[in-house]
Amino acid sequence: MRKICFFSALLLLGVLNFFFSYVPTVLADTPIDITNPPGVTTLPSPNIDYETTGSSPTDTLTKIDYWVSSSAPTSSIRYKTLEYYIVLHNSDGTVSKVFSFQPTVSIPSSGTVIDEFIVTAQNLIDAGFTQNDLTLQNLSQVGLSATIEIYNDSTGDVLATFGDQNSIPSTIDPIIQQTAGNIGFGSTDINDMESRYVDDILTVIPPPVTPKPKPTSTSDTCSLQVNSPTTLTEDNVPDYWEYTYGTPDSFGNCITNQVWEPYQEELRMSITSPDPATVKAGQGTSVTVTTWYENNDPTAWNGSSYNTGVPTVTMSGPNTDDWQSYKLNQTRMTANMVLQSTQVYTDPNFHGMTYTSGCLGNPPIQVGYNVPVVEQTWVIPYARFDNNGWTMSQTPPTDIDNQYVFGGLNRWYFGFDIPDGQTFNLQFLAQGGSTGTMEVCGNDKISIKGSPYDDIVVTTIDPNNPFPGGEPTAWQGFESNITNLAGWFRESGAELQKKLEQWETESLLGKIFTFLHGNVQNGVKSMDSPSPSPSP
Amino acid sequence: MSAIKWSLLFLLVIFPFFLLTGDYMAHNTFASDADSATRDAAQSELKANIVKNSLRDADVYKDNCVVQYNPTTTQTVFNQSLNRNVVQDSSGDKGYITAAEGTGIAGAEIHTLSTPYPTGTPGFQAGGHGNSPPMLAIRSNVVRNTFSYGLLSHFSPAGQLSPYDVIQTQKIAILEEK
Repeated sequence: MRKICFFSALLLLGVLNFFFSYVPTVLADTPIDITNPPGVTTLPSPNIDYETTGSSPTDTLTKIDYWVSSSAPTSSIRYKTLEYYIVLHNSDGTVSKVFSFQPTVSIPSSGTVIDEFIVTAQNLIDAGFTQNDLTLQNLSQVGLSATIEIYNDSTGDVLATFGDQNSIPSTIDPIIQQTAGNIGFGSTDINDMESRYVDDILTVIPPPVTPKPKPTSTSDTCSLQVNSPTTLTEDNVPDYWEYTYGTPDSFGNCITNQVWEPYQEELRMSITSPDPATVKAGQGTSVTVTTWYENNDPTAWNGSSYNTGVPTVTMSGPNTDDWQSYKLNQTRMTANMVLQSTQVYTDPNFHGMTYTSGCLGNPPIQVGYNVPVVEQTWVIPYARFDNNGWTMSQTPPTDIDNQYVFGGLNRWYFGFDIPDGQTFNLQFLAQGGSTGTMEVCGNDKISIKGSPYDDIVVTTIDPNNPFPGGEPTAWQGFESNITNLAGWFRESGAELQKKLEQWETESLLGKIFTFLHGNVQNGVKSMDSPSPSPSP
Repeated sequence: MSAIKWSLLFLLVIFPFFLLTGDYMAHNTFASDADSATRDAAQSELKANIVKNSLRDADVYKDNCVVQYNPTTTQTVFNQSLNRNVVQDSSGDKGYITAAEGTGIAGAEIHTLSTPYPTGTPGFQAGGHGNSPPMLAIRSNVVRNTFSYGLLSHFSPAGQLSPYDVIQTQKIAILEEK
């Protein structure tokens, strides 16, 4: 009878305890995934992890992972986990939900195995949690606890039971160490038991900031595009920038986050239409190439220019001075273009990297924003022509006399013998960047029509009235060169004969005087003793 | 008497008249031919001897054209252009050409000029970058065999009358760029 009363009292106390203590949501039937992650032989630290849909308060918990270890028994005194509890704390720290499940892990026959419990949001919802329960604004802490029983496998006697949904490592670990240690468990088993208790503040780790997507034109292949600017942007800078920002957690703590992103660089090029686009055979055309380079790696900028900029722009074009040879071999020449000007300014539209430091209290920091843009203008090398042909140089030739040496313009020239209708490409390639392989290119199309000889007119004139229709511009200031020959033009054969005879009989001084006098007077003077009447 | 009178009239008036008229017409024909040949030679001299490289930028610099004269081609063109049968010199040339040029040595004989560009030393050039545009003045003298001059020279004191008709022509050619 006393025994009945004792057990009745215990039952009453248990019922009262059930009703007067916190009643967790115990949902033991919900299946969860338990796996043995391959390659995991030691317990991760911490042995709990979370995934969320984001870092904002309205984002939700999507998955909780736990890892527990279990070792093979070495004696008949063993322990087993009766129940696992996933404990969710609300924003004020109190337990809001408990999700319990029975362990289904098998006891290893030897060694230690690591089991991963994967509790998904769907598991929790299936177990009765609402979506609202899983929003980050309603969560501050996620924990794992368990009820562990130590028993004698031979007799079935229960030697000790400890742990419930309220157990947290700081309170249960001393109990485990004392209770299990007194019974005779070693450190391996004690560690295994302790792995069932995890209590971690729900420090929701936001996903890393998504790096800016690469601009669409990112091909390294230098495709030819006629008369259109080509842009190439790359983020192949072999370095990264790091920034730290803070996000407040549910308790108002500022959680520091660290993010890495690659630096980005950009190279663009534009090519002017050739001037002229239709060239007369033998003449040339000019093209200006403009490149823009920017890099938001601060170490790439030395204060006035980029160490990683565009050192050269090269061009290639047909060598058609020997037209027959070109037709056979399609000979081309390559040359470095001449850097004509450099401008540096900031680009407000460049893909800047900016972030706010959030709750860290620092002002927003902009990194890589408004970085310097280096705009460079390139022209075709200076041309020089002499009896050896066409050569190109980076500096203006200094020996041009317009008698034997010509040129000086930044143009690409074509041969005099090219027939009408032929077309050629001038190709331009800008190369540089932090890797030296960043390149962008384009080309211009030139067609041949006509010859400069078409523009030349040779006429005969009367020195007494050389330009009855008006003096051409080119002859302004030089008309006297023609009119001075009027006397010579009128000279009759008899007068010429007389002058020649006089020249033959004159003394040397007289010849000089006559020559000079005659030049001044008439602009005409015989210098030799020609024989106007050749011998028959 | 009448026959003598008509004979004298024919001998002294009609025959010389026809002789001189024919000679005059022949002279004009030769002169026209020489004029044409001289013009061809002058124009050819200018156009054929343009220094090619001076045309490279002629679309930018309109007065860039430079001519390097070549007397050999001038004489050749003249010889080829002259159709009439004139007295040739020992080298086979049909006329003797002199040249004048506005900015250089006026009246200089074209035969004394330098060898052609670019192998020789500079000869005279014209044109280019603010200089006088290319211009060439050529004078030619061709010699025509004529019966009347030969006949008359027999009756003139020695050396006073040449048995040849020397036809002199001159042309001034200029080069312009459109």
